[in-house]
Amino acid sequence: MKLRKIKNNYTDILVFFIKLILGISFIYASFHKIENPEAFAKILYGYGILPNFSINLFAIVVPFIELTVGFSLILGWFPRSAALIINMLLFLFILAIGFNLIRGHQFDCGCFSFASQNQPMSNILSLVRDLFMLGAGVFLYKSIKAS
Amino acid sequence: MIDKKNKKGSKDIRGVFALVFFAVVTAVIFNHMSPSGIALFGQWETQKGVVSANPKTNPINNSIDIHSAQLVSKIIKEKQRTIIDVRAREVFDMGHIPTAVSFPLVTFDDNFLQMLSTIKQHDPVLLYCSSVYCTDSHSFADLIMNMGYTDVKVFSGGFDQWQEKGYEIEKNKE
Repeated sequence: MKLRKIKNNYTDILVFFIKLILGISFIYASFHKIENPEAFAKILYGYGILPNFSINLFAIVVPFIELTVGFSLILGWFPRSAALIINMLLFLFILAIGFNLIRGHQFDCGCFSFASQNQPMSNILSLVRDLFMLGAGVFLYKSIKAS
Repeated sequence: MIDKKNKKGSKDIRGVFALVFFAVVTAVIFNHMSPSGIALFGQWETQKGVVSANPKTNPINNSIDIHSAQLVSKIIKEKQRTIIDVRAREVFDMGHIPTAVSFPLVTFDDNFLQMLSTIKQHDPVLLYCSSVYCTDSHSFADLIMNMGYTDVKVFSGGFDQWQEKGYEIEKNKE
């Protein structure tokens, strides 16, 4: 009984930190895209995945989804839904980066800044980072209790 | 037990819709009000000219684009237009379209008087920058059209297309 309580306490602390790290990461990642949607649209175009008509719409909306879910997770508004969206976004980012790495298409990740170089190595690191974040996101979704 | 799980799941989905709806509405309103906002649809077809997200502050006028390197070659041979390279001076020195003069966009403020004295406002000009992804020649076109230049065209494919098609390149000696 006591052991279970201690384990729950540790899980609560871990969940708190994952919420904070994922939330801050998504809020931070949204800023430069909101500030310069033109540059973000060019990054999306560079991925060569989205249909041309949808590029601007994604460039306008995706950063605000990142911002909303970041705040939502930290402030506890629909935290399970926020975790679900974060996991879906990370899954799509992983697919996009992975697909381009496999086909050898040069692109700039544009994840946390527009100044990053479009070197395969930095994109592999982005992929690994997103995989870790997705793992944390799935753990978070399973751990947050529905109110 | 299963019913409780379903209830939890449907609440999560409702939350997803609520958050996405809030984000979409905020994004559209913010983009509409922001000076750095972009059009809902950009110009991403390379066949139609320079690609751009069509920002509010610097919309691209693709009607002045010339897409064919062959046509540019003809323009140069027949001396129909003054060719202006708007890329950085160092890049120009490494290689440029023959007969082109260098007026980099980045030093426009320092050089526009010199440009006014060498190229008359009624002279037909053709601008280019690095590629179809570069919007500098359009920014330059806006600036000189505001200064009274009336016949301005942009070679949308820029230096990259010129080089890819195998046309002659002029280099400045060291």
